[in-house]
Order: sequence, then C-alpha cells, then structure tokens
Amino acid sequence: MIKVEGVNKKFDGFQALQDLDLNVKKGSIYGLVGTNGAGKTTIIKHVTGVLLQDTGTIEIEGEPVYENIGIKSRMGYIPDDLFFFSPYNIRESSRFFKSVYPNWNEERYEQMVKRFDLSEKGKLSKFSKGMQKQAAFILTMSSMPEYLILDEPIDGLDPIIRKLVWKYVIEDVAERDMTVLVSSHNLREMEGICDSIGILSKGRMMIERDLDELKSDIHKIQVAFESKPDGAYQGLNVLHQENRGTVDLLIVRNKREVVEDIIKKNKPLVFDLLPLSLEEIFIYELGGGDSEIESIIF
Amino acid sequence: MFQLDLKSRTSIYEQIVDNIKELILSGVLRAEDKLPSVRELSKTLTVNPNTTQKAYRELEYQGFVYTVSGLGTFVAERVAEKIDPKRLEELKEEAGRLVRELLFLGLGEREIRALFEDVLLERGVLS
Amino acid sequence: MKSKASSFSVSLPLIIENLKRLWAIPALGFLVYFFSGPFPVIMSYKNINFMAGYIEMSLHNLQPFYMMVHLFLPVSAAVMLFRYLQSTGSTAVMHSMPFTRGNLFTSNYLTGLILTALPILANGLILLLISKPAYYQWGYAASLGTSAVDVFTKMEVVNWMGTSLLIVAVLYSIAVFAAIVTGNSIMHFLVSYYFIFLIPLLYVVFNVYFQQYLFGFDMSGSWVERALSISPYTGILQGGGYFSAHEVLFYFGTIALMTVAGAWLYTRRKLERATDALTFEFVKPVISYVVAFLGMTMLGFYFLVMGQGESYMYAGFIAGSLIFFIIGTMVVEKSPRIFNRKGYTNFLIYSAVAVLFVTSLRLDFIGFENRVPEAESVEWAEFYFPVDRLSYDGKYIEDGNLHDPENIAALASFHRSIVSDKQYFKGELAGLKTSMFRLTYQSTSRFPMSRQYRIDYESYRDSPDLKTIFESAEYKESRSFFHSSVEKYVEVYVHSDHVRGFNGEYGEYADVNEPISDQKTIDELMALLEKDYQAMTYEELVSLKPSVASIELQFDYAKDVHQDWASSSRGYQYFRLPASFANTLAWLEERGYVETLTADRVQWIEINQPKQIDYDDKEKMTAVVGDRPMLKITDKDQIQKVLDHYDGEPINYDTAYEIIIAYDNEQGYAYGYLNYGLNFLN
Repeated sequence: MIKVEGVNKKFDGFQALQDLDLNVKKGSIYGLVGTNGAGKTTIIKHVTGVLLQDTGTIEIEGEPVYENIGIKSRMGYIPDDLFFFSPYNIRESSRFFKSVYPNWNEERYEQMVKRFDLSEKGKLSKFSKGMQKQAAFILTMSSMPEYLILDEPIDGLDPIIRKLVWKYVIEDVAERDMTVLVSSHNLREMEGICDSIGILSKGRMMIERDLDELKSDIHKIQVAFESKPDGAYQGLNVLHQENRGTVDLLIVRNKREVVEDIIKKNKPLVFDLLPLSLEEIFIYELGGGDSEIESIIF
Repeated sequence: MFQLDLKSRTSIYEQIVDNIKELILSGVLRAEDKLPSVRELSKTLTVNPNTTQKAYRELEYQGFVYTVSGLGTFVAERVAEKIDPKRLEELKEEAGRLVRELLFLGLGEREIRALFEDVLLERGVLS
Repeated sequence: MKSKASSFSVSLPLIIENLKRLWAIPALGFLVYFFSGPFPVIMSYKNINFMAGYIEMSLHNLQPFYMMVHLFLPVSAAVMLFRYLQSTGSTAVMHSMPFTRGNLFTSNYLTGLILTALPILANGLILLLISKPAYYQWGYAASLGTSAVDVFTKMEVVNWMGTSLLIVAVLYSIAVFAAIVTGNSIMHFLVSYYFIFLIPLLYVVFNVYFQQYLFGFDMSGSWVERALSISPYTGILQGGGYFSAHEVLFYFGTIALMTVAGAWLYTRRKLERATDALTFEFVKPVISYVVAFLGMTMLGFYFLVMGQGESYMYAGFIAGSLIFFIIGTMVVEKSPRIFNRKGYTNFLIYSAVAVLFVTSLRLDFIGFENRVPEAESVEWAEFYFPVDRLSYDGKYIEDGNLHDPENIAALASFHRSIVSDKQYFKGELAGLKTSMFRLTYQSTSRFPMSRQYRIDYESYRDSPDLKTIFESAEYKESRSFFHSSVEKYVEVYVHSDHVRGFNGEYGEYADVNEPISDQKTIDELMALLEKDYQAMTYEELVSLKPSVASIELQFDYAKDVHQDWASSSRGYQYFRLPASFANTLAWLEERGYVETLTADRVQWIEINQPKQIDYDDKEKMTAVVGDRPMLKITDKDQIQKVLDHYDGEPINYDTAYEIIIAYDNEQGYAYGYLNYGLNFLN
C-alpha cells in the first residue's frame, strides 16, 4: 500500500503541500481530485520519488520511496507532461524500458501495440498528444507495474481509447492486484472506476473516503407535505435548506435509512431522495458558497 | 450478461446487485448456478473489482448467493427465513405506489389484477 | 539497506541508450579532427616535410580546428546528456524510473567522457598509423646549420592524445558541474564557459588591480604563465604543447573536484527548479557579483585610460558596478524585476566588498609596498637591472643570482631606499632617463618575494648599495667573459663608429673591418676585455659617456650548458664598448680597428636647446643644421672641451642640451647631450 504521512513541501516560499496524509490500499483504484493548483501533481511527484518532501514520510510497502530502486522498478508512472527520448519510436523506447524494468512483458507489449493500432516506426515526438498518451500507456503497462500512478491520463483521448485504457487497468487490478493512484478532473469517469477518493484543496487533504461511503453520507432530498408538521426535519444534519413554494429542497449529511425514517414518519406527499454525484460532492465540499450549492441542489 | 447505466444516480455496486437479483428472480440464474468470478465480471463490465466484490458480498448478505472459497460464488436456494422485513416493507410500499400510479393513469381494477396474476402465473405460484 | 557504492553504480542500459542517441557528437568531432589533421598530411604524404610545421602545430594543439573541437565538444556533450534535468517533463520521467540520482549522474557522466574521448583516441590511432619522420627547421635554426627535429614521432602523437584527453576531461567535468547548478540548457552552455575561463580571467583582473595600486608589483614573468596554466585550454598555448608534471596534477585535481562537487550537488538539487536560470542559491552571487566586478574593472580602467586621473577611474568603477550588477542579477534571476529588497541588499553587500577590496589595495592594508625582508632571512636573490650593458646584451648568464650575504644586504638596503622615498618613485619621473629594476628574494622556507621599480638615473648612479653589488667579486665573476658557460671565442667583429664604411656611412652599422678569426689574436683581445671589465668601477659602468665602437662576439657554449631553443651550440654577444676600457681601446686603435673622434677631425659642433631636434623627422633633422642653432662652435679648443664633456644619453630630456658633431668634412655626424650645463665652455 501507499502511505503518505504528514508531508509538507514549500516551493520558494509557497506552501504547496501542508500536513498531507494520503492512503492507498493495495489493489484499490484511488482517485485523487482537487482544484487546479491544489497539489495533485506535486504529491504524485513525491509518491513517484521525483521530489523530496520537506517533512513527513512517503512509504510503499513500508519502505520509503525516495531513491528506492526496488520499489521504483515495480512502479509505473504516466505524467501529465509526457517525455520521450527523441528521436525514438515506440519500439526503440520499448527496448529501453525492457532493459530497465525487470518485469517487462514483451508479449503484452506486442499485443497492446496491435490493439491500440499504433505505428511502431513513427517518431514519438511527432505523434499527436493523444497518441503519445497511448504510447506512454502501452510502455508503462508492459512493464507490469504493481503500482500504477496516472496524472490526468485520459485527457485528450477519444471514448473508444478511454474504454480500452480502463479495460487494461481493471484487468491488471483484477488479475494482479495492481494498486492504482489516478488524478483527474473528469469526475464522472472517476466515479465509475475508483473505489476510493481523496479530495485535495490548497495542499491539504480535505476528505479521503471510500467512494461508496462518501456517497452514502450525504443526500439531497425534495420533500413536500400536505401540511408540514413542526420539527419535520428534526434529527437530520441539515447542511442546506431551500424553499421553492411548497416544496423543500435540502442537503443533509445522513445515511439513507435515517433520512427515510425521519421523513416518512410524517407521510410526505412528495419525497425524492438522491445521492449526490461525485461532481456535486466536489463542488459542495470545495465550493462553499451559496451559488455553488444552488448549482447542485436541483 | 447485463448492461450498466453509468449515467444513473444509482451507484454501480447497487446496479450490479439489482441486476443479479433480477436475473435470479426471473429464473435466468437458477439455484446452484455458478456466477462469474469477481475478476471476470469486473473485466467484462469494466468495473472496479472492489466494487464487484462489494456487490457479491451484499448479495451474499441478502441471501441470494453463497461463496465457497476456492470454487466461486453460486446462486443460493431460496430460503424463507432469510427475508429481510425492512426490505419487504420497502417493496410493499413500492408496490402500493405503483398501483396508485397505475390507477391515476386510468388502468382499471381488472387490468391491475391481471397484471399481478400474470407474474404469479409466470412464477408457478398460480396455476 | 543499500550501500553507498551501489547507489552510485553505473547503469549500463542508460549508457547504451545515451550512446545510441548521441553518436553524432563524437562522429562530428572525429570528422573535424580527421579533415584538419591526418587528411592534409595524407594528401602531402610524399613531401611530408612541407607539412612539418603544420603537423607540429596540430600535435601541440595550436591548430585552430583542433582548438575549436576541444572547446566545443565536451561542453556540447554535457549539455546534451544533462538536458533531461532542464525540463519538468523529462526530469519527472527519468527520476521516477528505477535509478538513483547517483546512477543517473555516473551513467551520464561516463557516457560524456566516452563521447569526448572517442574522437581523440580514433584520431590518435590514425596518426600513429601514418606517422613517419617529418623534419622541421624554423628559419633561424636552418641558418645555423643545426639539425632539424622530427615532429611526427609516435611519442609526439601519444603526447597529443594525452594532453588532448586531459584538456577535454577538465572542460567536460566543469561543464557537468555547470549542468547541475543551472536549470536550462542555454544557461548551462553559458555558465560552462563562464566557469572554464573564470579563474584565469580573475587572476588577470586581480593582477591589473595590483599593478595599478601596489607600488613595486612585479608584472613580468611567471604570473602570466601561471594565469594561463590554470585552464589547460589556455595552458597549452604557452607550454609549447606539453604539460609539466605540476600542471598535470593540478588538472587531475580540478577534474576530481568538479566531479565530486557535481555528484554531491546532484543529490541535493531541487528538481522542481528545472527551467530556472540557476538551481542553487549560492551560485547566484558567484555569477552576479563576478559579472559586476568584471564590469566595474572594465569601465574603471577604460575611463582611466580615456580620462585624466584617478577620479575618472572611480567614476568608471561606480558606473560599471551598477550597470553590470543589474545585468548580472537579471540574468541570474531570469527576470527584469530585481529592484526589490533582495536586489538592493545584494547590491549593498557587493558594494561593501568592492569598496573594501579597492580600499585595502589603495591603502595597502597588507603592507605590500613597504615590505623589505631582513637580509639574513634571504638565501639568494634574483636581480635584473640592465644598466650593465655588457651583462645584459645577449651574454648567456646561467646563474646571475646573488648569494653573497653582503650583496643581499646591499640589495635590501637599496630596496629600502626606494621604498622610503615612495612618493618620488611612484611619480611619473617625467622626462628622466629611467631603467627598470627587478628583484626577487628567495628562501626555501618562504614564497619568493618579487618587486619591480622604475628608477631614474641619478638615483641609481649615486647609490652606494648598487656600487657594492656591481663591484663585488660575486658579480664580476658571474659576468666574466670567461664564464664557465663559454668554451671559447671563435670570432670577433669590431665596428667603429667614427670610421667611414665602404657604403659611405659612419656609425654602428658601417661595415669596415674584417672579422677577427685568428685564435691567438682573439685570445689576446679577450684577455684585454676581461682585464678592463674586471677593473671597471660602478661609476664607469653607469657612465653615459659615448662609446666609440661596438663589439660582436661569437662563441661556443660549453658542452653541458642547457638551452631552451632549438639546438644551437653557438652563442652571440653584442655590446657597445665602454669609453673606460682603456687597454682594449688602445689595442684596437693600434691595429686600426677603431678611430676615436678628435677635435682635428671635427669641423663644428652645434648645441641646441633641449628637445629641439626631432629625431623622427629625418628631413627636419638635417634641416636644423644651419637653421637657428643655439650655439655653433668651431674653435678647436672648445670643440675638444665638448668632446670631453658630452654624453651619449640624456639624464633629463627636458634640460639636456642636444649636440650635433660634424666631422670628416661634414660627411660624418655624431649626436649627443650635454647634461651638466654649458659653463665649462667659458
């Protein structure tokens, strides 16, 4: 597992990471989300052993990552800012990867190249950004990493390729118990793939939860009573409330059963209970202002 | 086997649970049938294996399947005591709500009864 | 736990990858070496002696193409190899791979060494294969009939390989150090050359300040050599293609230092600084301060030369400091926004240091100017003062140093007299005849102490200390005509000034006499010369009385004498025969080699105001004859008086009367000065 504890990092006076804790269980797919500049790429560069933190520890399987060849040879990293040795094509790059990563799988490489339909002869530096991402993905996955770190991986990929990418990732997680840490802005896609979520803001970890738990914790409800009794919402952790005519719109931080019990007691005429989507949770937790909340109510 | 609606508000794991339950209830999956492994199902659906794992656990908890370690997950024989009263209550309410809506839409008593009888007939409860 | 050794171990895949990608660098280097080196030689292979000069030049790394490759190849290799550190994307990818920073450093470093060494080795091998004797004679040596040198031996080629490898290794290790402290490739390129030439440049700059401020600072000799040797690239220019053992050690030391520093800094480098100009704070002042210092020096001394006086220089210092500090800081911070507290603070620090530096020199904090060592602590002294014409006009002196404690004491005393009259000697000594005086005190326990002063005539003429030295047995022995480095004199030419030559000319270059080749006669003459020389007093030695003849001696060096230039066993000495050498003169006159100028030969003597005769304007000079002379003397008694009194050189250009002597029916003219006024005429 990946364990980040109490990490602080300052860049020339700017506090990029602050007391950051992050935990990724083995075999899980962890989605790292946050506003731009929240520190996602920064913490990822720490986890991959590129940057060294000011304070705190970053460990994988109990060993510190920094300068740790053993761990790094079992880790795959696709950064947002891709780099290839120019003037190489993908085949030449694969030979380098093969010589560096002990678990390189040549068969998988061949198969993936075919599947993604990439030209082996073309110079990688001349590829479009999307194709470069695909090439990076093929090379990284063919090294059979136990830990896969992805920074904005699907940015710029068409839906077919995206599906293909996730298919390979899922396969490895299922077959080999691969651990995945992925950061992205595409919350819908994250929602479909991740089992854990970490929400980062201004260098701090705001919320880190199992995704289903996260979603089961907070709901929005639309209620209307024939005659609204007093204390209809008593016992509920009401985060936000709005009236639209006879209908009440609420965001409550309670489990579904609790909400149902309390509301149904008063026999409402209208009762809609919906979980918030990850996007809505994100906006709520990080937005904070009324306008943001309004945008997620209904 | 079934499709997932990624746009739906229902979480994926719930959809898996519901879909498998539906297959069992409608008789497509019979007792002692082997379900695909967590791995296989995840790959097929392109779904996080942990999510699939959770779904299977929920199904087991609800009594629809059982797991034999090393062999896999199998459809369970329906056992009466395993009925969850809360769930029962929920479904009854839902049924009531459905009937009310059907009435509202203009379906008559005979047609509503026929609807129920058809299902019972299909399940071999009614002869 | 990983051992230190493994974390700096070399990663073979990385090296191979680098070589595969960057093969063009050594290929290009090799092509330049080949087409400017072996290729022209092969083209002239049948007449290889024609190429001998070029071969020697190439093998001594003085050939421009070789020099260019040596300068550019190592730096280019370093820039290409460490490019990955200079952008965020490549940094992230390389450092997330299973390498430690140590692996990355050593692998890339080694690759660079290989890339720069390969073309040299390949070229060297080709040169070894094609090497055959090529004889080189440079003009002078040819005329001496001395043997020519084979410049294309295998040893020479091996030496070339060795020196070239050393040069590129030093430049490369500096460039790698620069890679670690810079954040983008352009800065890397510039900073590499900055460090490569920095120390020699600073050495030169400091010497310029010392010369400006420190009275007695010795500018000559070894400081230039030392400055050039600091960088092997410039060192090769004056070593004639060879490095001394000291230099080789120094260069290896440089390589080791730069490499270890580079490796250590790499482990501490903040990778997020990629694309910044500099990646370590401590380097910033090293660059911005030094740039400011160089700018300050440049403008200060430029103004000094252009303007009149020291105040201009200080204005230049201030202007230069400001302008170049701003430029340097902008480059280093990679932004024009440097006018903030940090910038001002840095400028204040710089100014404080600069002011301290200049003041400490101006006020001589270290007491440089006044220091004269205790004579007892000096073991021997080197001493150069060319007032003794015989000694310094070409005679080979093996050991012209002073060991006699009395002489050393006298030297120190003379030195002290100069230093105690600093204001006088520091001045311009306008119009005065001066001579350069240089000395070095040596002792095994201390660094040598060298000084250099300009002394005017009257000061040295009247010095009792110098009299002691020049009349001492040690001195006379070391300057004897029968010095141990001379085997025998083989020919003597005597030129008489006042004898008409067959080309109608009078003077030093009038050829009249046959050379004296008869050994017996030569020996006789040499004995007289020696006798007169040994008897000569200091006053006679520094006397300005005109000489009437020049002597040219040819001699054979003793077998065991060392020589620096191409082997020539023949030595020459040429000097003006002093007027006080009575015995020699008598002998020469007897035999008709010399004719003195007597009053009966002289038609008239013209005496002019100081500086009236324009020696550079030949027309004007002859036109002066008859054109308003101050005084024209025709009386034979008076003429004789003048002949007895006049000097060949002025003591003070502003007050010495210039005279022209017309003799032999105005066919011969002699020139001179009256330094002590005209009272003797009455």
